[in-house]
Amino acid sequence: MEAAVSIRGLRKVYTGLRSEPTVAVADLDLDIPVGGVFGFLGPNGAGKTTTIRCALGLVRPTAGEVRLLGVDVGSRLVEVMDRVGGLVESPKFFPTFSGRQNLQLLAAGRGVATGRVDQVLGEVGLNDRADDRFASYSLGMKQRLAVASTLLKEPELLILDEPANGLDPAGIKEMRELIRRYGESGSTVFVSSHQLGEVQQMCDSVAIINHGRLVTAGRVEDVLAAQWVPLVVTIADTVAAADVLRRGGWGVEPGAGSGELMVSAGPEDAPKVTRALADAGLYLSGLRQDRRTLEAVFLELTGDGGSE
Amino acid sequence: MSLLWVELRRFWLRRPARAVVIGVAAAVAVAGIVTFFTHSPEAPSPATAEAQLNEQLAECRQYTGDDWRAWDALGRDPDYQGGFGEYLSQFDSADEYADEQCQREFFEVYVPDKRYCLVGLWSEDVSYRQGCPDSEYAQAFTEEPYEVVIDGERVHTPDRGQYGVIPATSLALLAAVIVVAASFVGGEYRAGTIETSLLWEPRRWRVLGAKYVAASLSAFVIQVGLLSLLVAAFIPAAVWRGSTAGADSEFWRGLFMTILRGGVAAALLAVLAISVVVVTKHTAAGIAVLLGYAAISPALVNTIFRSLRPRDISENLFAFVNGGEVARWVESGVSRQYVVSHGTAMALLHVVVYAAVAVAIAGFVFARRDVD
Repeated sequence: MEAAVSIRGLRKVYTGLRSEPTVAVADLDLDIPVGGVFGFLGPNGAGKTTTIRCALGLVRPTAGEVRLLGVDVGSRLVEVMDRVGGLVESPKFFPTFSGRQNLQLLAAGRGVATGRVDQVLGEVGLNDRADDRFASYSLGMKQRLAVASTLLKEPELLILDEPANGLDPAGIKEMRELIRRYGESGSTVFVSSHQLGEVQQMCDSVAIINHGRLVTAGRVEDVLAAQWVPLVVTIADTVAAADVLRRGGWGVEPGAGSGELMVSAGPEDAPKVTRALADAGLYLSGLRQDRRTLEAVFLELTGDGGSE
Repeated sequence: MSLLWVELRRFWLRRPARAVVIGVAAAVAVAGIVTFFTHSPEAPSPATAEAQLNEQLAECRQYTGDDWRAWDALGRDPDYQGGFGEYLSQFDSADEYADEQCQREFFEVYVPDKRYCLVGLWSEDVSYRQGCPDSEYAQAFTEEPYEVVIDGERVHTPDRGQYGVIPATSLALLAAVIVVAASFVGGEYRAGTIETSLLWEPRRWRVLGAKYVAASLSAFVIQVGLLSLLVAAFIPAAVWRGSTAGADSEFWRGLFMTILRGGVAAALLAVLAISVVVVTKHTAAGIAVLLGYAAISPALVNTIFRSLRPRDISENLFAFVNGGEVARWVESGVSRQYVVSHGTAMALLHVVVYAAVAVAIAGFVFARRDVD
């Protein structure tokens, strides 16, 4: 099946008159399957927004190609634009026009039925303030309007860059549900987000990039499972237990809690660890494998202390 | 077409366009009312003229008689005032001297015409009008080109073009058009909505083209509409507080053409303003470049860049709006002479070429530049 978004060898280098060339995206390859929600993660400056801008035809790639729904963006973007909704970074609308006027202008430009404007305003919960000036909106309301604008075309592919920016917890939850609904309806949602917990809850697949390069990609469970997760052993004599386990060939680090050891072993090693300790006359009082969060994996893979 | 409709709606929904139209329309209405109430319907009458002439004659007889009487009182000295006494000795009395000095035909009667003259809206050569054309005391000061010979070649000085309220207002309104057109696209860069537009219509030439057409059509409508309103505002003053004398079919045709040229100039200036803003991405830059150039270009093309004067966009634009001719400088011996270079149609062609070049540059930049 044709990918919803297919990126091949994408490279974008920014050159300035008085600055060194900056490589924003370096030979990125990425396939986003049709249907579902795809998370796009990376630290600040990793190249996420530049990738999205290239995908939406706003930025001309230095090399490589992007295909949306099988159509080459560089040469035939217009053929697919009616099937793609895009939001890049902050919402951008005419400040002195109302939210409704802004959407009506966009809808009129592409022959979208005017009734659809009220529909999407309702979907993002903006009907009550639709006739207020955009400049008077809170950041969260502006973000909702931006998402509403992307929904106007009833797109098969939604590309959203930080859609939850500025939203309160209730707004974030609504946005998550909206995105999930779209993903489950057969459309594809390609979403970059700072909210790693949200991404883990709403995305079927993720890609993590750093320094313009792909670090990992795949289904969320697979990305989490691929990372090393220690066994946490709770035992009275940690010194003796550590000695026994090291002799057994496992790596051992002190755990976070008292009487805990972190053992470099996968779930399949749990019986061996238990037996090795029992053979040495040491009986553990607890054994668990910590559930890895996407945030932990992200920080590990990108090697940055700051979260995306 | 729908994109053009959207851009037109956006143009007219914006505050700068509405503020200019409402502000200028209000000023025009005030001007019409003030003109109406500051003019009088009374035409200058022969009785007023006679009274004024008699007053001037009496005044003349008084001071000439005083001269004769002073000479008489000093003993009729022939050397009085360096020989003037000898001249006065020809007259036997002060009255006889006054009769000679104060004859009716020596005096030019000027009777102020307090009526509003409709032909003041525009005229071909009359730079200053004293009285409406139907007044027998009317005077008009004309400024026409004259012929000069440069190195054996007969050329004439440039026709300055039209005078009057409408050509002058038309030029002034062009500044407002620059501001409105520049802010139309500059506002998009400030708000970042260029990006939103391109997410809906990725064909950039089409997006930019719609903006050009919407802005130039709107500029044309604003210019023609406001100038027509100005004409309408002055008609009551001409009909009830003045004179419509001279307003024949030629006058109305000329007025129509003047307003039409103003509209075309506004449309072309809107194109130029948008082009500068597209390249610089700032409203202020667009306004500063165009108005700044208009301010300094006369100094440049009349001093260090004299040879470029016929190509100067401001000169050509002014000549086109005024229906006049563009001048060039020629060296004549040790002096320079200011003679005609080309006429109104060529002036329009110059501005059109500049606008086309501006569109090509702005279009290239807009189509190639990353939106980030």
